[in-house]
Amino acid sequence: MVLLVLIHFMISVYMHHKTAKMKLLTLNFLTCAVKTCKSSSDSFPLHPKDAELASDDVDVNPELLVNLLPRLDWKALKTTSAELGFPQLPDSPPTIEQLQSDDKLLKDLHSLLMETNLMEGKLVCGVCGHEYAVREGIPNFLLPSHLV
Amino acid sequence: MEYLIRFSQSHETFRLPELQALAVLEGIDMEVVSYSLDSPFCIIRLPPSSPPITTTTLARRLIRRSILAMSIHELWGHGPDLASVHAAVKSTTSPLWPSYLSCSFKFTLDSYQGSRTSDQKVSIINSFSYLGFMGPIKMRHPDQEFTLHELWPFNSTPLGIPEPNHLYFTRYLGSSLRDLPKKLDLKKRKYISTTSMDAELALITANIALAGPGKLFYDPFCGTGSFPIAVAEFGAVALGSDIDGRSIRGDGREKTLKGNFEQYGLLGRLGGTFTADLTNSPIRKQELGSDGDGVRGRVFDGIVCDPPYGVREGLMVLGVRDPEKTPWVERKGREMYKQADFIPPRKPYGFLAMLDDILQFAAQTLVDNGRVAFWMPTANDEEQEMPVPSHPYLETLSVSTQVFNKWSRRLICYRRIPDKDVDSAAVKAREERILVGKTADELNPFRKAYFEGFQTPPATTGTSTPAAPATETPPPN
Repeated sequence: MVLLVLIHFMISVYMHHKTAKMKLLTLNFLTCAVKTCKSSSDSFPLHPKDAELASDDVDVNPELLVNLLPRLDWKALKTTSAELGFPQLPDSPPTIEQLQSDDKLLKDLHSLLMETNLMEGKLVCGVCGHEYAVREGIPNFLLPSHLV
Repeated sequence: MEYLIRFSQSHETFRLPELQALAVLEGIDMEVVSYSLDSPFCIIRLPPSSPPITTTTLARRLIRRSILAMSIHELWGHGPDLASVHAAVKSTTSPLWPSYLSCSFKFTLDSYQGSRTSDQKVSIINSFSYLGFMGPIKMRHPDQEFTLHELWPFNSTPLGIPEPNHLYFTRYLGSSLRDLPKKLDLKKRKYISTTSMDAELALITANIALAGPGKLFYDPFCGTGSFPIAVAEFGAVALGSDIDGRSIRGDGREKTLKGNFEQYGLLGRLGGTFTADLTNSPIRKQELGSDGDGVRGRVFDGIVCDPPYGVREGLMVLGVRDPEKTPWVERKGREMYKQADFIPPRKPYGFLAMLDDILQFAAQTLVDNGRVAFWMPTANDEEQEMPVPSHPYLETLSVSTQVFNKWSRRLICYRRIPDKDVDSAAVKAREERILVGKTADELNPFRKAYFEGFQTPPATTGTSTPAAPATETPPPN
């Protein structure tokens, strides 16, 4: 019995290590998949619920952050960051020049977007309340037929 | 100055689109002087550059990440016979000769579709003695390598043809990533499926779509991750999704999409994977024509994919095939969908509708000048050939074809046109058309033709008889 529990524990650790992960960056590009929700601004961002996070080491990629900065929905990022319990982001995004000249800012943003991963939990739409399950770092956006 | 690019004589119709994409990527204003699908030798011209960057540097940059080019050379002279090559070299390059007087060097002969005896080789090489190079000859790692490239007619050895059609004399400048496909070889990849795209073509696709450092790419039919891996190899961050989450999860241990990224040391460039259907995509989109600066609101620098062709398994999207006949399917969905193991019902999907949805999705999510490159199959018979799909917000840049026995697959690449340059008449025409069809065959002309063995349709429409695919053809997905 003890052995079984031990094996189960080892598998869960192993699984946790080996399956997918989703960077928080990606969350800034995901909205509710239900078509009728798209017109409402409340369907974005999706709200993490019972979220399990994991962080890993990724080389800082200043070129990527500078390129993506204009595409980030900063307000949504601020919401996501607050909901996951990270320190408050400023109300408005930095300019590209600020990002390029401020090493700490670059590292903080990198750490939040590229090194923080959503592993388990749910993503909830603020309009329809639909909960998209996240298992092993892979959110499932498939909808039942009455929502298609 | 003119330069010679030595291509690999394979995937011929992909070579120029790849080279032109690399010129865009490196910001090089390249002019193709001579190119033929039947020859591995291509002459290009590069504009004079401003210091500190020399034109030589630009030439090296141009092909440094090419998969189909092998090397680039400074072209010293070319002509239909050796005498005209000598004349060209003497008349145009004599000011260059003194620079190579004392360095180590070697001469090589690059005969395409032909061969020379060693005596002939020695006599050809000696005919260049007027260059006056005094440095040591080194066969391994010389300072300079001079090559006489020969283009022979097809089958010249058995036919006993004595002389090549054309010759080029060059100085070697740089090589490409011709060996990179070996690193990503499917045979050594931990996790693949029957429809994984081979490494060479995936990398070429990534090049044509301008994947590069700092960019965000997406594959909506990612499967085991062939395209996300290819774009990540070139420095882009990749997102992937698939309607079948099992293809991403694999066995949940070693054989997973993420495991493949780990195998190649690319994990930092995997942005995320999710289960989704393109027709009900969770990706944030921008209404067409409403995006002011062409960047804000749109997400991707590039989209690359090999969508399912619907031959192995009919194409599917979320929904119920016939909601009136089977009302219980939807009812069950309403009751059960919140359970973890619920599998949403799916219905047949049209192949052409899917291609159209990909283009629409690309138009809504690509930044200005971002590229979408996707694969589509077609019959080789002209009468059954499928047209290249079009979209008013996308400019068709290239169509490359890989030919099998009775069918081919094409890689089509488009560029997102900035809103202000879009033709409003084309937008209006698009809004007025409708796509119809219900069964898998009606919805998918390629599937129908495939199972009918790509015969020209007879006058009377009989029942379709499944024909075995040609043996040497890899099965389509």
